[in-house]
Amino acid sequence: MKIFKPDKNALVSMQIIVVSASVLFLIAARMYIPVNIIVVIIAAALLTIVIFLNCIYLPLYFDYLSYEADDEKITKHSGVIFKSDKTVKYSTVQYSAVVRTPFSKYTGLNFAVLFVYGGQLRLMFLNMDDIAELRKASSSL
Amino acid sequence: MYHEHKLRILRYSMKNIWMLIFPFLRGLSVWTFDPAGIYAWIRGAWLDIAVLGIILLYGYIRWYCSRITITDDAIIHTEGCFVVIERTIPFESISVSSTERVFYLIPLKATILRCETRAGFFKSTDLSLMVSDSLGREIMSNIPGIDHKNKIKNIPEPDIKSIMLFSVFFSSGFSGAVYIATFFFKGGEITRDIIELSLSRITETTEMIYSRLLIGIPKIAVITGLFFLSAWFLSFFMNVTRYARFRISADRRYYDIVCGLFKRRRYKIKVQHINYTDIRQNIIMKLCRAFSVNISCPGYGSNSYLPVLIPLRNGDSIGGEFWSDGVVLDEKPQYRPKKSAFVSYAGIPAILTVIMPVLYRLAERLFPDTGELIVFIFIMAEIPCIWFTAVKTVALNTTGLSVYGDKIVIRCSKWTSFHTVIAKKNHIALIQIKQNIFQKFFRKCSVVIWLNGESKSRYTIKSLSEKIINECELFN
Repeated sequence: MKIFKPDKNALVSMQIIVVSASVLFLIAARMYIPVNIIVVIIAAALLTIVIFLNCIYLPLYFDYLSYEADDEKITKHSGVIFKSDKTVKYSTVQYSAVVRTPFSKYTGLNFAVLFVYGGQLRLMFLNMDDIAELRKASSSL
Repeated sequence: MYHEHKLRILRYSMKNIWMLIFPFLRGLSVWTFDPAGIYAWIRGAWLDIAVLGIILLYGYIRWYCSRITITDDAIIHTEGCFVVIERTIPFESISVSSTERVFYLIPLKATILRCETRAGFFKSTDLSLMVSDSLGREIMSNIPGIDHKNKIKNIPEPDIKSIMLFSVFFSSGFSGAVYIATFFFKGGEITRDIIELSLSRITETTEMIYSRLLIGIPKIAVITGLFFLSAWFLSFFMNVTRYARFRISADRRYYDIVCGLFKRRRYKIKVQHINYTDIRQNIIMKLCRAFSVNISCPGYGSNSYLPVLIPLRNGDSIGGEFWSDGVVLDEKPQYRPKKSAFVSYAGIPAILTVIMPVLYRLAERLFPDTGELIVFIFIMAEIPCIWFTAVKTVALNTTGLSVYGDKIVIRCSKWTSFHTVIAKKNHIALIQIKQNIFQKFFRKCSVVIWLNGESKSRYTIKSLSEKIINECELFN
């Protein structure tokens, strides 16, 4: 059995995305909302969200997110408040999709989706080497 | 590596091209054939032309990034410029692959190719590509299909007569359309007569109002009636064109189906992936010993296309070697409701059939002036009651459950249609046994069987004896 952890760069990338989105939102609010107090309230709310996501939620999410793969199946462990474990047998995988974002080698924002009977299993933030290894293991990815 | 058909560039651009509709109309209104005018037009519309160029360029880049790779055992489709999605579908996982040649795409040598697997929960296509005819043929030749050396012989081939009859039976409720049309034709006429009679008794002024305002009532009724009949004829025409030139060839592992007049479709169906077979009949088809064979397989059939394997056949067997599954269609079910279950099957329509004349007498006394209208309404209400009583009485005699080795046969009715469902035991998703307070008292139960499928596949057999739970191997 081998355990795959998400790419370390993915956490930083997600934190940068959260900060960038918040800054853009704040600029838009500053440009279109003339009432200063409302802009200040929005800025405070955004700051709280950013601190919560970047300092608490995302580190915990990435800490718990892992994939266990053996010869027959793959199990995804995820969740922050509610933990969930999803297992998929390779034999039930019908087809797969790999999603790559720009500069994914550096950002770690790669996703693989296993389409199985009646649903799908999303493998998030794996680096391409891990996806290639899983491809070998399952011969379906 | 291959690309999709170039026509796809327009499709990829289409999402943004609507933005140019108003600039285009504005430009068109000032268009002239004078060279100086054309120059002036280009000077004025250069920004619109540039935007159009960018949109088409974006479509071209998206088309260029859409790549198809065929390996020994899979088809790989890559799409997207910035976010790249690579889909790998092993040939062995494909339940149904199909090509669609629409008449207007034939001169452009374009084909729509679809691949469907058992994955996912809704009726969505896993892979849909517009490719050239030659690439479509190449991909289809790589996807496993029937072995022509081991083809099953004597498969029943539907002729034009059976396709026409099939279209009649399955065109959006023939009897329903005729019934509704009659209701409006005849009902409108009677209503007009009654209103005319009542109003002519009052005053001249009222008659004048009638002649000006109410003359249109029968017209509306006629139009509504014609609408329903036209809708049925349209549905009939669509069905004839969909299933015309229906051809099927098969071996033990694959079915190859070709059908359609204006949209020529070819399906390769993997037999192993078929969830169940559904033999459909209505009461007229039952009387004529005719049936239609449908299958449930991911990717075959949709809202507008029935998943037909044999459109219409007459007789007791589906057809020699093609259907040697050990299932005898004409045999009585092993577990079936007793005749005393008439109340739970046909009780409500039978009671309504009996009550209707009583209600008619009552209404005739309460509203003596509208006699003809009441007769008409009650006749129209009585027809579906009698129809349903007949259908449910037949259902009582035919419904049941049988187990043949690793297969089950469910015979049941849904509304006015009869189903004989043949499925492997390992395709059963869930079995529910239901009992209401009356069934508990009479020691009866209803068995609900859910089968694998992309959409809800639930079949209910009512009023079986409680003993079935101990007797039938399905529950042990």
